Amino acid sequence: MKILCCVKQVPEKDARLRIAEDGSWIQEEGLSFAISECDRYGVEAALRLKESTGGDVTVVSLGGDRATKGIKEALAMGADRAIHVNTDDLMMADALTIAKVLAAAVKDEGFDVVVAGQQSDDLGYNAVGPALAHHLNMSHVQIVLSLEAVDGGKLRVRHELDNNLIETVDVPTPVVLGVQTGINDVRYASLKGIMGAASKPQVKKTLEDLGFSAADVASRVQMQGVAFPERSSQAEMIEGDPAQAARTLVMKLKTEAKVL
Amino acid sequence: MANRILVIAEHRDGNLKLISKEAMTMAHGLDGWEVVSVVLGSGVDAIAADLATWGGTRTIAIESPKLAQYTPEAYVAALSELIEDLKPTAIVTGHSYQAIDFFPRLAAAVDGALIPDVTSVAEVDGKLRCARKVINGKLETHCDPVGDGPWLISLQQGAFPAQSPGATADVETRNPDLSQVVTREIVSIEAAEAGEVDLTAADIIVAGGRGVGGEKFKVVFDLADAMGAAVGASRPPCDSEWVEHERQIGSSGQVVAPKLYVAVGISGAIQHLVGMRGSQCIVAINKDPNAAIFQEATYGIVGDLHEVVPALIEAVNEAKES
Repeated sequence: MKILCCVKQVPEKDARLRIAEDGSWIQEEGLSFAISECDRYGVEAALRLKESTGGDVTVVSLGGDRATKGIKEALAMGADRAIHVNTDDLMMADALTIAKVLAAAVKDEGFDVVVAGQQSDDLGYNAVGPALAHHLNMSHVQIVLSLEAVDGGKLRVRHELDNNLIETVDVPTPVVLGVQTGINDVRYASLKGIMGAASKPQVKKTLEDLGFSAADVASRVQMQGVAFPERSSQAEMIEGDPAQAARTLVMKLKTEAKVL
Repeated sequence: MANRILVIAEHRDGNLKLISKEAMTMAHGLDGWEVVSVVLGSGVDAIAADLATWGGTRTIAIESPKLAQYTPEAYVAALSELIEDLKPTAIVTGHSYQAIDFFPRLAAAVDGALIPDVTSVAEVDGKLRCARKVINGKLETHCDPVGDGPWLISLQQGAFPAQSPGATADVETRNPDLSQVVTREIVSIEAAEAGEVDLTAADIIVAGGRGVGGEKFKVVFDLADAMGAAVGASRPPCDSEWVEHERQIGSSGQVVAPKLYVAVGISGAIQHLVGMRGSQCIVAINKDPNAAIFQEATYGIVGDLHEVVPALIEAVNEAKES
């Protein structure tokens, strides 16, 4: 199977965030970035699918130069080649615009299976996969827990529905799968993989290469800046060193909240 | 002409979902907008009648054998046709897992603007300005849809507490021809395995998150022991197998409402919050003062949990002795 996995570079989970001076977004200088969590599981799922069915895995990432770090990591883990949609212009773009651009970058490749994370850790739209599927005229499944190839060129996919229900579907390929976290054990790149990554084929495409003007990729969602949420008035913050704070808390739980 | 807002309702096992009632409530909050609701299925008269009691000018029931079970293919086909006909300025639905599946594809199909997982909506300069969280719930942003619509907005569970408007809409049934729509084959729909651990009966729950760390997760059990509590977890510790999956609390796990909930090293992703919000008293311990969990907390301690939790165990034990 010809498999594509989509990875996005996002601020690392533990990163201490500061808001940029103009309030438009976080201050990115000094932050470390990593592959978004769901996408890491997606890379692993793509590699496992290749290992069970044969074929090859391409990694695609959209972003500025820092996206190369995630691409290298996916190549080191075992992806065979990479497409980098190299642009700084879409960092704050909405999911539908990103999906449109990604679709243009990969539409002529004839992928059978596209694996994406079901949600990114930064903007968190839960949306690129299904929108990408629309543009590529593929079927899609969101919040995927497992996938396996079955007869008839189909994939058997388990995914989460509401109320703790799990649905199993047989979907025809080509298909876009938005994977959930925790669905597999993500491998570490081997030394050999890391050494070999640099020599794997990588293609860079710009928005111009893909035939997009600035107007074509104008975001459909206009963000009006970010802020730390105001703390709800009910939360009582307990100060002091750990021992003091702990004793105060226990006292309050016993006498004030009466729950201990 | 008044702006029109279309509310897409969902149902499961013959019942209108609560999240859809919340979406109706949000729509009624817009001043001067015409509210139209829609429900899709096969044999959904009763659900449409229930939906109609949530108000608006009309409730549309879209009936087709192809809609007997939810598939994104049939949903997107039927809704695209309806949207073409009604030309709503805004389309809202609850940010359910089902909506996460079909709503982005619908947004792409109708060439709209999509704003998902929204916590509040206000009309500003003729647009619907939406508040939502970014970076795992740590920051809040307000954003406007660009263009004349349709604007597709999905609403976070619980953000718009359902309030009946006390007026009933007229119900109209449509029977579109969806015979050409190729839907996937549904093999089964099953409840996720429940496991042995039932946290719903516990009076006190101590839950650990990513911040605890794999090697040190034992502190969560130690604190639970001291407090006579059950142990729960947010998703990351379960994904990383620091604890059993059956201890997961949240939208993909158990929904609990104990007297006391102690969240240790849990940042407060919405998927976790919906599973524990109903707790009577919530204690949050986290090193990040901006963690979303503090929004929900009754009491909060900002600090290194590996210092605070041992101190808390000691304080609990002292209190028992005194």
